[in-house]
Amino acid sequence: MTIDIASIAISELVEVLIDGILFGLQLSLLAVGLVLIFGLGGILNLAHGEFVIVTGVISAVLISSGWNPAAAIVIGILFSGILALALDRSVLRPVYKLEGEMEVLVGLFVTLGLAFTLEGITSYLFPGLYFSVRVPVETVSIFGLSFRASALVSGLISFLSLLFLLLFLGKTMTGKAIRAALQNQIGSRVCGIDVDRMRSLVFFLGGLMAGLAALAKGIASSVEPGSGLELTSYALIVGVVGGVRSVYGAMVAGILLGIVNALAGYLLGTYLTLVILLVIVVAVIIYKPSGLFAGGV
Amino acid sequence: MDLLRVEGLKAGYKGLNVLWDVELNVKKNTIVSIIGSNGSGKTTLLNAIMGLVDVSEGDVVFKGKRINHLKTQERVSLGIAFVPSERELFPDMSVEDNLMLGAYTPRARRKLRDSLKQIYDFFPVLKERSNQLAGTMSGGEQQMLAIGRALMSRPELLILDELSTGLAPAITLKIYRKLKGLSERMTVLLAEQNIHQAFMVSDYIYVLENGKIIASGSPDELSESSLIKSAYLGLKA
Repeated sequence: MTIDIASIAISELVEVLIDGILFGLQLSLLAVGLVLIFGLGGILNLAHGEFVIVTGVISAVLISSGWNPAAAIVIGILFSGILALALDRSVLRPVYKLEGEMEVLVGLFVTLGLAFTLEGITSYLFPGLYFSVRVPVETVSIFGLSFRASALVSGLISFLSLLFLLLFLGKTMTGKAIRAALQNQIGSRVCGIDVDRMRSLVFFLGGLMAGLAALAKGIASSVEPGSGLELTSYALIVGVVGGVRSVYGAMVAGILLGIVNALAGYLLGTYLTLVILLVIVVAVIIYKPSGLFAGGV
Repeated sequence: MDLLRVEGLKAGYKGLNVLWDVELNVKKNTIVSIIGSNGSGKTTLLNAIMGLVDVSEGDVVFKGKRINHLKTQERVSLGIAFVPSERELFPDMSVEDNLMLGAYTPRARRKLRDSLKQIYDFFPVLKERSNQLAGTMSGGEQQMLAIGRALMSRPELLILDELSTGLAPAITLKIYRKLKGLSERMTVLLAEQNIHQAFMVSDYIYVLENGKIIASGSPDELSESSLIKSAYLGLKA
């Protein structure tokens, strides 16, 4: 009897762990865009979560207008990329001319203003709208363990998106140039790399990653106007724990925090999970301010 | 023929000039050095040629064309390569990735594999450490990597800032010997605090003090100058 209880507990724990990894992949996807933009643009983009919402809203509006869902989602994702690019090319241009703390502070308030504006527009124009993608199968059984199919598909999309980003940054000349510019801007310029163009590309990529995060979240649960700042908070938590200039750090930290989040929810209750994540952030800031996985872009 | 001309250049930082009416000519396939004490403006001059500091007056002319308005990366595309005194490598990337990024311009990228092979022949230690992170290499190896990265762009003009800083004399000498060999097919402009090294490798030398050129000539001519003898070579005038 005791053995049965133990085996049930272990199988539940494995399910929780895998759920945590799947959620963590979503967190990683959410955070990499923020980290890329901070690393090269020097801007802590507080409107990052709103890029997720924008993809969700555009996709939902197009689908409800009779568009093919796949086409609607692709347009929604591209729109977030273009919105991020527009942000870089317009209101942030004067901010880049500032230096040091001034650049960081003005950048914070400009993007916070944009976050409130986007939240206001989407909440006012589309009250009650939400973006959700239904997976035809409810649950999937693997080795006797039961998983939500939506969580698995969401995790797979997150994983493939992160893999694409890793391959792009690691294997292509443009990806290497982005990593170079993240590490040393003068060094990049003397290699012939146009750092301003790389920054614009990074904003576009960051927007695309936020759009893909919207797809992953829309499959796992839903995306609705009004939750952008919460998503930005999660991205910030992951970014700070991983190392706010490290893409690889954000990927690993996202998965780690996803597991912590799932375990805390299972053992202590979901109402405590965000508190625990915030405690981890504070501890990291105190004991390893550069992040747990800083070093290496 | 002058590959590079600097005409009446005033340049500096945040509106404050460091250089005053600097005139300088670099002939093709020669090694030209700028010598001067610490703070004389050597680095500022090289940075101005590369477009890394503001030019308030005067011109930088490369292959007969004024390039003042061009960004640093556009100057690199024209065939100028720069090794900054701080090396400015990508520390968290491998030696090979650092070298490959040196061939980022479309012109250089077409011959990337050939260039990589040449650099590995030129600096065999870089081949041995091709997978090592640049930030974990010694000072001398990093300097070779910085030069190798600059050469990957297949430049017509190679500019080097303070090559010998922080390096053991034997390593500096080794690198200078390799550079001397390069000058048959490339033009080299270098700023150097180590006067003896500069005299050894250069075809022509400019002396910069307080942002102004105070003397210039071949090493033989300058070694006869009483000013140079007393102030730089430690000899009695």
